[in-house]
Amino acid sequence: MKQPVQDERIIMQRRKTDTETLYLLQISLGVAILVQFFFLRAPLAQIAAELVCLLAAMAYSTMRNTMAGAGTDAQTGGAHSTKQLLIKSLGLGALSTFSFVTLAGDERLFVLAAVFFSISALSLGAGLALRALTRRRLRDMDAALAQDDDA
Amino acid sequence: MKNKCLKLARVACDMSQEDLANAVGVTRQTIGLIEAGNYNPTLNLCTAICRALGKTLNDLFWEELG
Repeated sequence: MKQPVQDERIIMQRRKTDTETLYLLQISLGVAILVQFFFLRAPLAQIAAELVCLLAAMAYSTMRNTMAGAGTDAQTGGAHSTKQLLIKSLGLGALSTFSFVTLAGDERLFVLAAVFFSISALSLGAGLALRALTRRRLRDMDAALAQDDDA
Repeated sequence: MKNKCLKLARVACDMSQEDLANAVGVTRQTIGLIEAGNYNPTLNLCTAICRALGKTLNDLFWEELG
């Protein structure tokens, strides 16, 4: 029986199209959530499914890339500085606090400080964990390659 | 940039694009696109093409700069 042709060009083009489709889907989902939440003032329960799907997709993508040694920090060899992570985390904390004020209208200082510090700390923790995972994965790959060279 | 070396080597072997495509397990269009310089094949496909035509990678896929 004749084997079906496995044309690399067609396979790669299909993968590329699938990737673009998924990327567009994620962006659309993000925009839909923002519009519903901020402009249409939809309750959280109404957009929970979309939000969970988007977060799950982002988490899956991040973990898969990290485990494959292609995480966000892989090209610098896991050398993303703590200072950069801290700045990004504080930025996310500030953005989240601003969103919280806009949505909840709660301007009590201790509440805002709690939101700011908890989001920043969570973000920093996640960043540090991902960086450690990336470094570990890259080290494992180096060790495996060194073993191959020795054999 | 067009890959004239590939086309010449294929014609010298008296093969059509279809024949070469069948020999390396791709579609005729892919061979056409490689010859037209509109698709960069993977190294695996390059070596398969070289084997099918009895040439080396240098013969078919190396271009001198300048």
